[in-house]
Amino acid sequence: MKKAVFTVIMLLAMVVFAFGAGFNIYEFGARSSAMGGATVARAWDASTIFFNPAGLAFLDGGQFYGGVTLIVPSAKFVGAAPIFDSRVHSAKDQVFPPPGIYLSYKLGSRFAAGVGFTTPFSLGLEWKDDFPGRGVSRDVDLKSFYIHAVGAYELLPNLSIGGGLDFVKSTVNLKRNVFLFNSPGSPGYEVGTAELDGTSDWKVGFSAALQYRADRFGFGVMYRHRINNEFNNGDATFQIFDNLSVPNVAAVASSILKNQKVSTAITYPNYVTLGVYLGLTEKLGLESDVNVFNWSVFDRVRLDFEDDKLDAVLNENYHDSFTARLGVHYNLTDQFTLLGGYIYDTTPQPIESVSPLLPDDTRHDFSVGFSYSAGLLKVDAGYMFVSIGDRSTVENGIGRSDVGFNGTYNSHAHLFFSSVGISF
Amino acid sequence: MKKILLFAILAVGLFLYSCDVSDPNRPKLGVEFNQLVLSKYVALGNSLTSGFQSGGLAEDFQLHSFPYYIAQQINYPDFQQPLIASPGLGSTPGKTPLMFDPATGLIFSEDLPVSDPRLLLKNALLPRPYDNLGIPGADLNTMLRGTSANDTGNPFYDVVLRNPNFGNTTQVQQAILLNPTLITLWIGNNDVLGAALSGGDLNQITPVDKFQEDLGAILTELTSKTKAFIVMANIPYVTDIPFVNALDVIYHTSPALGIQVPVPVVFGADFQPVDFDPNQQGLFIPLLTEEQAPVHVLLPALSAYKESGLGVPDSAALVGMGLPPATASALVQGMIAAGLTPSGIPIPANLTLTNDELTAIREAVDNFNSVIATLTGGKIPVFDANAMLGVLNTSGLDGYTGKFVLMDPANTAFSLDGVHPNNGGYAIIANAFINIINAALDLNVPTLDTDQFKGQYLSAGKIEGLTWQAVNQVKHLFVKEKTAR
Repeated sequence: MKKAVFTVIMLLAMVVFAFGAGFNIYEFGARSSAMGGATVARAWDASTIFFNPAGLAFLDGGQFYGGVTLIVPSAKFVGAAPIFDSRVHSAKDQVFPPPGIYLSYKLGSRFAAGVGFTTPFSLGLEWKDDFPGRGVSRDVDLKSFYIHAVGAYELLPNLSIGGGLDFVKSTVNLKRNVFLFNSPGSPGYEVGTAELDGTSDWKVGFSAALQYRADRFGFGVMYRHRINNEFNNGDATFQIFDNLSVPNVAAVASSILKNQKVSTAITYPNYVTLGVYLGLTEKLGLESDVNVFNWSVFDRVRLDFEDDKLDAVLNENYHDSFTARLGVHYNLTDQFTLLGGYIYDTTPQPIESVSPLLPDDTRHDFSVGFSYSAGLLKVDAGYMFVSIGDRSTVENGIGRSDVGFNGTYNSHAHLFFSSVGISF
Repeated sequence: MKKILLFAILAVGLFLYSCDVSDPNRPKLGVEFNQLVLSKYVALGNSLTSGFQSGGLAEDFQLHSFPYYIAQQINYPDFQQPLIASPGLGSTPGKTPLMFDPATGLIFSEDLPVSDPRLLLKNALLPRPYDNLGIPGADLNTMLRGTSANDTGNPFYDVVLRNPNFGNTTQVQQAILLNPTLITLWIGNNDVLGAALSGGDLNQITPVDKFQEDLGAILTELTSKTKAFIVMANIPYVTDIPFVNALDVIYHTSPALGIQVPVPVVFGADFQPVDFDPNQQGLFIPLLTEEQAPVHVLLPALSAYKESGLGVPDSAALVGMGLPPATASALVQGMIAAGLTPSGIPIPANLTLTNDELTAIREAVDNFNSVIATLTGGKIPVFDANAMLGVLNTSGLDGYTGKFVLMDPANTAFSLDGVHPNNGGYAIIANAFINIINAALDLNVPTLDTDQFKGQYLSAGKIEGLTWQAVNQVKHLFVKEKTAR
């Protein structure tokens, strides 16, 4: 057994990666993730601080739960004929390790408090240097850091309410190549690269939740409020290529593309989660959840440079979306539980804003995992395959891309997650 | 049991991992490959590309440039030209283009109201080079090397290229910055035109090896630094334009004087040679010319002829032709009565072309066109503009003629300067380029209905003549100062 666990960990270390529609990440606890994230109706560990803070009221004593999900995405692009050749372009191999770390404590018989750390709205995608869409995006890295401070109170036997504050700060880094003198029909002349780098101020949001817990039945609902993170005084850094084919233009490019401050803002949506847990037998239970995301708050991203001539607007125009989750557990022994899950994750992204920055589509996710407990110690681990499939910006021969970069993307992701729980 | 399950989970995971998702399917846009050539059009050239008419550049003319016509026909949405606000820029600094004054019936030009020509540029702040980069006066050398009025002596370079804003780049380099898919290139006319407009200064002709070197360099730049489909036009005989041949109508023999070969003779208001002794065998009085037996008298001689009698023999000259003094004296009186001014001043050499000069100029054009044919080598389609001008002058094209506006105001394809086409002439040229593009790429870009541009000068009233100053200004951009070469 120990050898087997060791093998799993080694495997996790060697391989990598995963994520949800739009740029939402929901995998912040290995047991929850292995059950397709369907854990709003029943708390299994302190990760309920993220999934449903009301569930804290049903956890005894002190709880630590922490782990990491390794997300290994793959994205490919082939450009629309006849503009592009048939070459398939792959994104660079990357591994994203969003952590989920929690600590909770039951104070008295009815009240519990906890803190947690997650990164639920994050995004990373880096294309290779010769990617034809490098003028749109070559590399994006967005991370939101959420510190959750929550409390829960058992109103009635089996019924608790909970909620708390989210303290949110983000970092963003965008890289793209700069084409000057563009016009309809032409990208213009490639002169160098641009990098925008920003760190937001802290913003405070909140969550509110409710959970009902009986032996074989559970119900949960949770609301998390939106966050508008503002990146003021970010740094825009430009590098002009050496050896441009037209002499003297480097000087012009340098005079236009001066390093300067840039500001922007990104809104993370509010969402509500509803779920029901059913214990079918002593050993077998399942849960079904739905998240509804208010993604329509993510309509556009304004890039506000010191030099107004460089200002830009990225049209996103997301619409609201939902995610359906199904999780199952089977308690093989008192110590060992098998876990499985399925997620139907609808994309909030309209076809017009599908771009190298974020080529999204509706996803089907399949997860497996296990939970092993020994006394006060618990180890959970699992794997999820995220199937995103083909998404094309070409419909009936018409290119729909808002930035005029048309083709088909194909993405998928592997997620490996493991968490450790300690009760005290 | 536990181990088995654990490994089962691992196996599923590895299976999913190993079945790497297939490559994305390549979508197809509803557009043919060859149509992509039409997605970004840039025009390179000289005054003919810029839309120059009537000795100047102005918005009204530019909206009838052949590149603008082509952009309209291929539905290119944002074809930007250096539009010049009214009254436009004439080829002589500080002057307007040629205009027609209905009160006097004369073609004339005026002083410009601004000192810096750039002040008339309507879209000076366009943050990219213009799509029509044609520069009046450009030749191969300045297309390849010229960046400003300062280094070319031609103020239109500042107007079109707007340096130093674009890094002191040349016309060719600005085209490269635009990353075009389609280029029309019509250049080289001004490497020989000056010789014709100057009345045969053969020093105005670029040596053919220099022509070959510079055109080769231009084509190498464009083909190596853009992926554009390039279409060229060759060089029409610069002697087959009204500025040179409009006065061919005043040629006549004079049997009474024993002149059997047509020579320029005294003519009336209707350009008809005057027979001063219709009852005899025909007495047509030859005009005085510095050069012997000129084959063409250039257009500026017309206004000087009317205003001051340039070339009209006086009594002494008539006696010199063998006429008795009494006859000469009577003829002078008759000419004065007819409104002529017998000045006795011969038409200077710079207003006539001799046969030697004509031959040398036509040979230069032939040599340049051979170079164009060689360097394009079948890879770059070439519109035979030379042949087209020949057809225009002999049988006409689409009902247009190559005659000067004074002789054929209803049908002429030339503008008031006698060098550049008018709205209809440019439409004929645009159609020729479109036909070449369609043939080379198997496309169906529609051609223009040239009829709609007919009669450009009919509403203005009867055009009867032109001022010396006006028609002479036409030469300014195209005849180079000797010191500049």
